[in-house]
Amino acid sequence: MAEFFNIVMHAMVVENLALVFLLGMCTFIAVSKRVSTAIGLGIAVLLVQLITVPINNVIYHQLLAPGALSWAGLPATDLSHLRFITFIGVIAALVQIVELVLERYFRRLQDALGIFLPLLTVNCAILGASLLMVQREYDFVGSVAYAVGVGAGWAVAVILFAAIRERLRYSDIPVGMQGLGMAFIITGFLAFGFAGISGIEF
Amino acid sequence: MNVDTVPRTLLVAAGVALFCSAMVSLAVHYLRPLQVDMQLLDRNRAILEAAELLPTGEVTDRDIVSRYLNLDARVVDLDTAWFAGGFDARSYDHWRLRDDVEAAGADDGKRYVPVYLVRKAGSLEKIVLPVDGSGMWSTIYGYVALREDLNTITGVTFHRHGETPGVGDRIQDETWLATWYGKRIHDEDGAMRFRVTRDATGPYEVDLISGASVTAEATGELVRTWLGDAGYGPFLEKLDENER
Amino acid sequence: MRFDKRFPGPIIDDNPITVQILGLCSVLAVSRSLEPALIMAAAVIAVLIYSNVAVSALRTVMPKSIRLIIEVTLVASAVIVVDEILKAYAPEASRVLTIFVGLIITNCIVLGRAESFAMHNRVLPSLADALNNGVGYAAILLFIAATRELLGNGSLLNVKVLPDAFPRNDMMQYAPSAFFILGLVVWAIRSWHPEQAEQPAHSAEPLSYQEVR
Repeated sequence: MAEFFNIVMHAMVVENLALVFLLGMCTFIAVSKRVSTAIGLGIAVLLVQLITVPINNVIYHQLLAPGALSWAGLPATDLSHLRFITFIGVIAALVQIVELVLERYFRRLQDALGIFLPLLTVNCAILGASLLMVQREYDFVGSVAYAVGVGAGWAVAVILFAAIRERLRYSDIPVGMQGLGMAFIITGFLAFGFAGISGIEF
Repeated sequence: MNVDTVPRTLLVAAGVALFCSAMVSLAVHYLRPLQVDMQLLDRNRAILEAAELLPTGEVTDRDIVSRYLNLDARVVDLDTAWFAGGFDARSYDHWRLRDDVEAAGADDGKRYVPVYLVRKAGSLEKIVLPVDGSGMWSTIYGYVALREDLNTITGVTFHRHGETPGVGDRIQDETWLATWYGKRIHDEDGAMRFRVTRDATGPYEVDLISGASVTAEATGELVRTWLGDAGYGPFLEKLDENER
Repeated sequence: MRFDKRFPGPIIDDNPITVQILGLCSVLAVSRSLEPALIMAAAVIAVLIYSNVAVSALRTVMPKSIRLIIEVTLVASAVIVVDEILKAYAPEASRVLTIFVGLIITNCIVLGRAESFAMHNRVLPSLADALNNGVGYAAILLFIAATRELLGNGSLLNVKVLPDAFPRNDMMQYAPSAFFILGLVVWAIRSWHPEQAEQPAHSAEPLSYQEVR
């Protein structure tokens, strides 16, 4: 239990995907002008991470990792180089399925998430989380914890960012800095804050 | 040509799939041997670095290979605490084998580890020992080099790990690794004294890296385990007697 | 042929990073020093060219229902090949770049240009488009990497350039510094080309009593 909590906190704070690894930035910067949309995006990311990371973990360790195919009598096979295409394929399929399920049973949630859900197929943070999970060599429970941590961490980061940007609408920013320029500077400060926290080892 | 019909869709899908698989398979097939060579080269470089046999500045791959071949590589059976025969020690990669064996569930319980002896004019000058253990987030792999007294550290590297970038990976920082130089493992009575700890004092302790304490402590722990009775301890004792 | 006419313009006018807001992730994370940045830029340009050319060549035979997955498959297999090549010929760089080579698959520039340009244009213009965007991306990435390595380490491509007396800016070692540099670059570009600047979301002019009456 403590291990689970540790992984969650570490993934959420010390290795925050948005502000430490800087993944998912395109969506982060482009879709964060209002807190309400940011919340929708955050929930979508958390949901997709929770589904894709553990499933990719199982697939990797049962099929792709060096020696994984020994149950099929092929202990020397190493298919780890196929993880890129397998993960992205799994992510695309799972996102599609989630969309269909939401459309059928959770209509309101689907309306709230809008177009973000399909966009997440090609979001670096989603693929990145699966790749990092492989690098960190988590087992299944570990990967669930990791998914919770990265999803929640990314959501918190984007909501924080949107809240700041909403406030900045009323500031007197030089014309050249308006919008994109300022967004980069703010994210830079946020990221530095998190860089400071990363000195903590749980 | 209307492509949106089912048969055409399947045809295009199959065509793309075939083309991409061919491309990927060819690339992997031809590049895999070179990659394995690179990994070995990397490992050999780490061993030579630990033994301080790498000159500073540019070193060619050929140089690394020839220096590596100058080492006296042997495989040790940790249970009998002595050298084991019948192995090609130079290419024996116990870490790779361990991963494969674990995955295949075929562990027979025997523990063979390659060690690398540096000899000068026939007598033992240094010995390089592979070590590994759990770090904070990954397994840390490294090499420890001991002097001919088989008790004083003369070099150490942690060439492979998955610790937090910018934080835990400071165990590869040369300034910190230099503080390991000259530290001793056992005291005169043969008790294990080596530690990585806060406020290190004396010839047996290495100071922690502030901000990366867990990872640094982990390296201390794994060195203690491997150089203790569960690891190389008995072997080193025998070797010491033998070399006298 | 519009090949050479299009070439220098889009690097500023239509830069994938500063105008289209694509491809940010790798720019920020891989720009600590120039050498891995160069390799990353080369990798992205290679994949971009391959993907644009392949998508453009196949655009007439791509069924609507599997369009996206075909694009992704083409890109993913190209990235796998690039990753394997790097592991074989530049393993040091491969270790520094870690997951970011794999993330080229989700690099918005690659899929973005494939969807918005290569799907609707012939092969040669698509190739030109890939080069434009690739070079635009590389320009920004290399500029940030050069700045960070120079100010943070005093070197360029691991060759010491600044004298030891010049203080090293440790902030440059951390990824967030890339954000600051990028923000300043955007400011510079938009001051030079004011047509790119965004309008403020909220007018800052105070109401004057005369007008209200």
